[in-house]
Amino acid sequence: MTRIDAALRFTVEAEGVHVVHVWAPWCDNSIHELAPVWAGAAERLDASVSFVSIWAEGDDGADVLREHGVEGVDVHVVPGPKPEKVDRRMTLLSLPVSWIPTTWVFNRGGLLAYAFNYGEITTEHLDQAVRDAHGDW
Amino acid sequence: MRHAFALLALVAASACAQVPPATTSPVGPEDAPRVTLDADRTETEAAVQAQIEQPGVHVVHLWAPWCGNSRAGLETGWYETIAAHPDVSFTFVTIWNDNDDGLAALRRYGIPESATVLAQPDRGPSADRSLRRTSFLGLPLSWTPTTWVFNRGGKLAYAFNYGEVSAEMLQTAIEHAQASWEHD
Repeated sequence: MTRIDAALRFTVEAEGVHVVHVWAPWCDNSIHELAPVWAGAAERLDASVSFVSIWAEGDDGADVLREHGVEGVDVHVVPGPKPEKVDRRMTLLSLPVSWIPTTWVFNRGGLLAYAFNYGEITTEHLDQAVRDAHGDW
Repeated sequence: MRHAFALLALVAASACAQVPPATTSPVGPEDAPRVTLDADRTETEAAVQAQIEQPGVHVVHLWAPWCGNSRAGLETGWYETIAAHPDVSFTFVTIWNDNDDGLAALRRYGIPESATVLAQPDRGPSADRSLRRTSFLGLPLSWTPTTWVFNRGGKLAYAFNYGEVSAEMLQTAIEHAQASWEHD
């Protein structure tokens, strides 16, 4: 288990609902959803929010997040270069990452409740996923 | 018999399943991680794997006829969603159901013959959660019903692993899985 995995595992295994967002500061799709979805998310959501920058030459993207109004989130970075597209594969928390941005919602002590592994998530669906993750069904 | 009903009621009332996290399979050989086969996979998993590796978008729904959440989920518009997407494959897989594929129940909910119906060879419902399946296709499984949407030759695009996915959410997931997501 990497240091990042350990830190994220510690976060998601805590009581409550936890959002892990995997992104890159150079990724158009990642940038496109920052202001409309993630600005204010830490205050809006009843969940912890962790941003994990990957494939970004070690850049945690904090400056880009501030530029787009994203505040109050935990910021992590997976070190390493931006690979060629053919080599962009990795796992975090034992889950496959096949696209950025990727958004995961955890509950029940670290279980994956929802995964949005492709495209761009909407505010409506992120908020719905967090609400549903709190539900007892 | 009374004890059997009590056990089933306990299982159904427990909102189906919650188990420890499972690990995923090794990443695939292509340009990004995808679900891969290993020696421990069942024939059912192999059949689903073959389906999701085909071009297009594929919905895999893991459920159990004895599960109240599964039955409630089937009443939320699956028939309409399937009818609206003839270009998408839908596969229903029963888990923890004594190897019964639940076909009769699916027909009662209007699931058409175009959908693939399979049973994962599992034991039946049990109050002992340690006996329950914790992964399918190497992906973590912690709840029934669970709904996954695959694209890009077998990559997991969306996972709804808790509660019951709404028809609107599933509809959007399918549409998003079909989109190219390129910006000018």
